[in-house]
Amino acid sequence: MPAEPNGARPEAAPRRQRWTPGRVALWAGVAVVGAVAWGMIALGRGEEISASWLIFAALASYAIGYRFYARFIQYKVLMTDDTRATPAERVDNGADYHPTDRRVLFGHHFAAVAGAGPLVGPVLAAQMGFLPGTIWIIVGVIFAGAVQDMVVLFFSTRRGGRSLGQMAREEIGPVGGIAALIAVMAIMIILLAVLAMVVVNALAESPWGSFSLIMTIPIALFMGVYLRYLRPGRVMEASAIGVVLLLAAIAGGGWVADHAVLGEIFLFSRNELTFGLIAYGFIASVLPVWLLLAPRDYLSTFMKIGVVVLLAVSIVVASPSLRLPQFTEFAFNGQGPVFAGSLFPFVFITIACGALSGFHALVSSGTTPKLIEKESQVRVIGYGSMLTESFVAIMAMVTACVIDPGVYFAMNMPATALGDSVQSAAQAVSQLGFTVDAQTLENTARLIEEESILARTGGAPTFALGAAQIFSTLFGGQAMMAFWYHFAVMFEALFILTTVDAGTRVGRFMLQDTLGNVYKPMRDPSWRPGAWLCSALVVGAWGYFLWAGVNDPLGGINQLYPLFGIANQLLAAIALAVCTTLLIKSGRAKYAWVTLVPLAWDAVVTLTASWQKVFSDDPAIGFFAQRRQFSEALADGETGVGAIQGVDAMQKVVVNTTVDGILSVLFALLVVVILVDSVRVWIKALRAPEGSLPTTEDPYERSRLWAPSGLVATREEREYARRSAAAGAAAPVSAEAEEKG
Amino acid sequence: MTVTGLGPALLRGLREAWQIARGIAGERAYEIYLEHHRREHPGEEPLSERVFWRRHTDRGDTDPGARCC
Repeated sequence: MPAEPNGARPEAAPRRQRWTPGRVALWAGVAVVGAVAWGMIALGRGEEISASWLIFAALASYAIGYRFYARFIQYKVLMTDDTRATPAERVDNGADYHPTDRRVLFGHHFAAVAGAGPLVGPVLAAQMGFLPGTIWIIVGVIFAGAVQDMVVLFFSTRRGGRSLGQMAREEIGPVGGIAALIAVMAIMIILLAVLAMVVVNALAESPWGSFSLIMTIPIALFMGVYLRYLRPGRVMEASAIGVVLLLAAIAGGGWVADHAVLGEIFLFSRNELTFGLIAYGFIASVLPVWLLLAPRDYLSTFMKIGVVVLLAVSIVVASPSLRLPQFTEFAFNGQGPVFAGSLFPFVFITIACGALSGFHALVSSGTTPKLIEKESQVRVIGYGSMLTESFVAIMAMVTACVIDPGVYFAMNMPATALGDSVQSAAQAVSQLGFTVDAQTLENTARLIEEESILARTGGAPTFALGAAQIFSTLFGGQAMMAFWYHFAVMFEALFILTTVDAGTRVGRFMLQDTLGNVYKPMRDPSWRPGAWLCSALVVGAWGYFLWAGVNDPLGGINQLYPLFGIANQLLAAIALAVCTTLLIKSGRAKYAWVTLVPLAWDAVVTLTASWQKVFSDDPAIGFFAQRRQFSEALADGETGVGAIQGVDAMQKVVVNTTVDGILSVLFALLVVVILVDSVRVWIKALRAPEGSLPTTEDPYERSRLWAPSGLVATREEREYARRSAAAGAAAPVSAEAEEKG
Repeated sequence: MTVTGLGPALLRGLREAWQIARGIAGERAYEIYLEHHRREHPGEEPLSERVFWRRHTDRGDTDPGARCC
């Protein structure tokens, strides 16, 4: 099939939007607000800066990015063509292919891409101050993350909704395809382990939190039965009942925690929670979907959208001050206690979701392209949803920065660095330069009715504390702090559990599919022995990392989070390489920089981070240097290194650093393989006469549907819809086509 | 807009918002199926609501869909 640049049709030429004085004034206003806000957060000195400035800087930048850069990509680079039928219109089978209202699809897509990721990364990155993370979240999303999501969505839409892996195989080659498969599998395992660890750290020794999270299981089961047998299809109703029960469970948790007997029953240690989660993950992934996963999904979507809106409104209304500085010394000396390594490259690794997340490419290819009505909607669905996720990341950054910096560090440092009392913790944190006294740490714990706030790493407790502080200034004051804290913990844990359940299932399908090449029956997803075996293998894999991380003397988040970031950015490298290849192959080489620049940046960041993780001589950063340090100490018969005491703990460090180091090497090699293989294809494509290389674009088929492009229909679009309805046109054609014709 | 025109417009807006929310929650699946069925297979009896939802949910057992972090 010739690579006809179909977008070059006359109808698809950008409709010139006239610059009326009103419009010019509006955009000039947005630019001024953005510039002032950026000035305040970057240059503000002395007084504490209001979080509203962060929000304004983000929103103004997003608006400009969406209006100008995304529009440029849409019209000049991708040349979206609304006269062309999308797969949803062509196939329209009433099931997975179906033209979906853009506003509904926006909600779907956002709920599918945004999870706990954007809540964790920014909280960890806050150890370097709020500025590095904020700049990366905003600039990264505009030039890299949202571009990736939009371009992948566009190309997958042109290819009948093919998945990223299929596109990598067809457009780059079998090597790229296999690398993509390994990357997806690896990131899935690490992601599940890291997210499960966030839950373990948030719920350990917390009967309130454990009770309310455990209650989500009977609530989901009830909803499942309700939707199956009582009132099939009444999703809104069942979700509303679920949310009410959920709130009751959170309120009830306070009573349970104070109860003499129940308080003991729901008090779990880290290892108990670890094995509980592993068992849950296995059972949930082999149970039928209707019973647990489907209702859980409904509940998470409800909570996700509700809490994001509530948090945004609360931050703007409460307008808290940021108490962390713009930069801390850890941005430059790489000695940060939350994660080691300096600003470059580790901020860009730690914050993946919210700025550039390769994982999104899996949603942007596969599910959403089968539902999208019009090609021009890739801007609002792909770019717009990612901007929204980025905004969630900014809010997470705000929650981490509004709490007392001393409390922040006490919550996020590994237990071994803090010692075992509030006094030793206060001393350790104060030594870092963030003065805090034992009394403050104790009072904070009492305020949220937790046993202790020390070493509650993983981001969720910090996010919850900040969010509780913001919510309680508006609703209920200090008396409600404990409720809001557990509400926020629950909110995050709820969809982490949904991800654990769904992710294990996705991993199981991928494994079954791969093993199916060797042993045929494996391919059948309803073959029970295969399902059980593969579920056990997937759960075993992430369960191992979870267990090792929870028991890691150096702190599991500290060690594993960088690996998760690298894996996610590795997937982004694959997605951006596929996009660049497609831009070149489809005759858009002139604009290949749109994805090539983010790819280059991503490759530099990932490879630098991997290099430091593998080769750094600093044991705090390099896995192998750390391994050497501990194994030499063991060989010399020593019984401790620094704060790590005991031969047992030292041996654990040796094992974990070996595994983590090998994974870092693997990820770096995969990035190199993908890059080399793509460059080979690019050169071939650039040398070949225009359009002689095969690509797999679907043939052009004229669309008979019409729909507005943006979230809100423009006046012209509304008028057009009215006119064609009045004319009784059964199948209105594209607005542009009509205007031109 | 006149005062009398505001009420119906507001109502229409709210109704639209409700339908969007139902769409995001996935509640419109059966309606979509019925529309599709009427268009593509006129004259044939469509699945009952209960049977449809059962099949709709059970598809997840073999196709989990992608979800992100």
